[in-house]
Parts: sequence; C-alpha cells; structure tokens
Amino acid sequence: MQIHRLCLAALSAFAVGQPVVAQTRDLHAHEHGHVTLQVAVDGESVEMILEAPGADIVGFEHSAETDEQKAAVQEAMADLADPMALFILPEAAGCTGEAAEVELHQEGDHNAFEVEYSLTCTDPAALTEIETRFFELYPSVEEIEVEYATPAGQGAGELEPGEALPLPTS
Amino acid sequence: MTRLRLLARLVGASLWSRRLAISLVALAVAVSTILFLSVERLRTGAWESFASTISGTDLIVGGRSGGVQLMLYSVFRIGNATNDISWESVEDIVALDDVDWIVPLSLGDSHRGYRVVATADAYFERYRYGRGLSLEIEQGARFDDLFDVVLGAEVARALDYEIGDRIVIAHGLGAAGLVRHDDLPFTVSGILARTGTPADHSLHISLEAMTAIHVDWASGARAAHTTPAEVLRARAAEGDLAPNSVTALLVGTTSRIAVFRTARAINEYPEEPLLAVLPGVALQELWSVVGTAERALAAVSAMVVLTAVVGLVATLLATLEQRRREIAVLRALGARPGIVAGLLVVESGLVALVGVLVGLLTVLAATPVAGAWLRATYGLDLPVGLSLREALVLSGIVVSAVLAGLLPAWRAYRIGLSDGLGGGG
Repeated sequence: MQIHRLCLAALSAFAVGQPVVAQTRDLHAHEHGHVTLQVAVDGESVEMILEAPGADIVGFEHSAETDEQKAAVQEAMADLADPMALFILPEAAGCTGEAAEVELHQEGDHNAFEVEYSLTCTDPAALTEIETRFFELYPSVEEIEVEYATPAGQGAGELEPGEALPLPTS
Repeated sequence: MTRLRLLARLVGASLWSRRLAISLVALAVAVSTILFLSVERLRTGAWESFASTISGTDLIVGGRSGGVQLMLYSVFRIGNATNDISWESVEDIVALDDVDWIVPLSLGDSHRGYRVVATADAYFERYRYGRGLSLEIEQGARFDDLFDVVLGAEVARALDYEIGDRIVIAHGLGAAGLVRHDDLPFTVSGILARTGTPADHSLHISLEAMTAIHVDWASGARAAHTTPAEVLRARAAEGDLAPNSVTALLVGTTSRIAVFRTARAINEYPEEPLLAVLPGVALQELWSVVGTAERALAAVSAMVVLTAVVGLVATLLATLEQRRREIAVLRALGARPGIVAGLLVVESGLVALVGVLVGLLTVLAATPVAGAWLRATYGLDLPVGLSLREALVLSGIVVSAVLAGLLPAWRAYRIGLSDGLGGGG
C-alpha cells in the first residue's frame, strides 16, 4: 500500500512536470537495408517521399564527425536530390522534376535521409510503372517498400533491382 | 483442294463412327473448362469485392496498433481496438490543413451477435464501397430521434426486423447479451440496401446515442437509478452528449498529394499515440495474409486444366489400339504415314476446341444468373467478360491438345500396313 502510494505520487509528479510532451521516448522502428518510398499522383503533379537509413547511404549512422564523413554526407545529399537520375519513369508520361531538398535526421544512434520530390508529368495516365537506380548506387539496400495513391486507387508493392513496379492507372 | 475435302470427310466419318467415345472426351474438356473458368471468376471476384470494401476514404485513423488490425476492427468489424482516440485528438486532426472531412466511428456494443456502430450522419455520405458507390437507405430514413437505429440489410433479414420495431442493445460484444441497455430501447428508423460489405452486418446509431446509453455506466455497471430517455433527449439537444472518445476515424484529404503528409502528421502526433493507414495499402497487406486461399484456388485451376489435357491424350492413345485396322486400311488406300498422323492431330485439336467452346458458352450463359445470386448472398461481384488470362489459358488447352495429339500420331505413323491388316481381324 505504501509503495503503491509512492508510485502514484511519483507518477503524478511526473505528470505535472511533463504535461505537454506526452511521448518523450517515442522511437521509430529502424531497419537496415530497408528503404521506403511513398508515391502520390494527383492531376499532373506527382509527389514522392523517400526515406533511407544512413547506414545504407553513407555507411555509418552516427552524426558525421571526420571531414571524410562530412564529405560523404554532402555527396549523398547531392546524389539523392535529383529525382530524374534516381528514378526511371515511362518516357511517355513526360515527367520533369527539379532537385529536391534532402534532410538528414539524427535520432539517437540512428540517422535517416529523407527526401520529398515534386514532379510534374504532362501525361500522368502514362505513368504505368516506376523503376529505380537506387540499388546500383547503394548496394546494401535490399528492398524498397513502395506505397502509392493514384487516381486508380491506393496500394503497396516492392521495388527490386532491375525490375519496374507497375502502378495502377485508371 | 479435293484432297483436303476428302480428308475432312474422312475425319468427319471417322469421328462419327466413334461419336459416343468422342463426345465423352469433348464433355470432359467442357467440364474442365467450366471448372477452370468458375474457379478463376470466383478468385478474381473475391479479390475485387474484398478490395472494394472501402473506397473514397484516404486514411483510416485509430489508436496505435498495426494497419491490418486497424482495418479489421474499423472496417471489417472483426476483433477489437486496443485504444480509443480521445475527442481532443479528433479535434486536432480535423484542424489539420489537409483534412477535408472525417467520419468518427465508435464500436464496442452489439445486438444479438451483430456489431453496433455509432457514427455521424456523414457516414452515409462519405462511406463508399466498390467503384464509389454510397450506402442507400432502402426503407425508412436516417437517425432523426436520439434513439433511432439504421440496420444493415443482413441484420434486418436475419432477425426479421421492420421499420418501427423496438430493439435493445447489449453492453459489450457477448452474443448472449448478458448486460443489456434495456432501459433505453432503440427504434428501427431505416434499413440499408444490400452492399456486400460489413455494413450489411452492422447496426448504426448516432454518436450521441452511444454516449446516452452509457451515461449511467460511469462505474462500469449500470447505476441503480437510470436517467430517463426524455432527459437524455433534452441533453442531446443541448449538445451535452458529445463523445469523450471514438474508436476510429475515416478521413478524407483535400488532395491525393496530401495523403502521405497527413498520415505522417497523425502518426507523429505528440499528444497521443495514433496510427493513420491508407486503406488500400492495409487491404493489400491483409490480402497477402488471407490470399493463401486465393493461391490454393489458382493451383486447383491449374490442376483442372492439366487433367483435361491428360485425359484427352489418354483417350486418344487408348482408341489408337482399336483403330489399327482403320489406319491400315487408309494406308492400303494410298494415304501416306504423314497424312494418317495429321488426321490424328487434327482430331485431337478439334475435340479440344469443341469442348472448350461448349464450356465457355455454358459459363458465359450462366454468369449473369449465378452472378446475381452471388452478389445478393455473398456480395461477390463476378467479372462478366472473358479476361486476357482466361483466353490465353483456354487457347493453351487447345494448343496443348494439338501437341498432345502428336504422341498418338507418331505411334500411328509407325504402325505398318502389315500391322493392322495381318492381324486377321
């Protein structure tokens, strides 16, 4: 009973001390070799969000310390920024996209690259598949999990080396 | 030309002389074709009906668990939520820039084994299934009074309810309904048209009604003196019965581009651990679990096709023994071995073609009838036309029959003149 009270007291003290941020120990699942890509198609605009663990892109997952590591991060950011070099979309769709902003998030001992690409396609109906050169650039990546939302519906699939992932079109 | 005609007459006469055996082989091919097409149609129909259980909703939001689980309890009404969403969080989600509309769902009570879904009026407008179909009220109207309930088609049919019937909702999900809200009965105000979705198996009440029947349950069991229905109606009119929490939300975003951004905002919402999933993605994930049955069906249809072809070859080989004489006579009349072999190949292909066509026509004729029944009973939508895949497999049957005909043809080619005539038959 005594202990019980103590616990309650401690809990309420904690609650009073931390009223706003409820989830201070909320960590994201983290898996090496596992990259996610989200593709949304609406009208002529195509938006893609890519998330990749730092271990696969630059080979380390702590924050860059040496000059060498900093250079590696700079290089990776430049490589990841260009959607047209990273992804292969059907020629007929006529997609163009400018260099995107690459962010590097550090969460504890892990880091992750995150990129948001905005593309414009003259004929989005021709966007029947997507392929990537990611595996050639970063060999330790094993799978890219893709989620998509297109006019024909939502769905998920996996990008594999040398294989295009079909996208539903209406 | 005349030679071809002669050959055709020979094939025809030879087939006619063995019409019973040959029509049985064609029948076997026809039955296999029917089986293959039916299995194939059920298979694609099952996936399409499953995938179209919910459409038009961009995100489903619930307490943090897994996407499949959230999908199961919020849409399929199977299993239970681990956590509810507090109403404050719902208000924050509504306030997100990219959120266009929400439909709250509150689950947890039941009526004679059927789930009760408490929701807002928007449910009837926003919930879509199939290719954007919305729920239709077949009889009566939506909730007007606080204690109105709208029944799914299957609930009304199975329990034989009509508009105006009074029903009591059970607290919790026990089929026996041990603890019941019998002090506050509901009146059936409307019955939904059949959809083939879990809505058929649900009872729909308003969120306020859900709060109202639990007003006296603050301690976990019903208080001795309960609040009368009239008092609750008055409180509802004053807006006093807003829910504290809901089980799940259907969310529509302003644009498709905003879907992933909104999902992220909800998944990273700091005040409460929430989960937002794309229903299309969760459905696919769920299908990969239950889809084993689909793959088993695909295996069955492959076996069916194989059986048809093997049966055809076996029959041709078996009759070959009896036809030694016929072949010998043909050879004696001057037919070259190649012609005799050709006759057998043509015969094999012809029998398969007739069998496939009979099977195909039977299925095409039966699909509309069976389809109507399946839609009414199981909500399964059968594809009507012939898919490319089906056409390919069917022509595959005919082609493999022609190829399989080569084996008896080769044997016939080797049967010498003396073989058949010398036998003394």
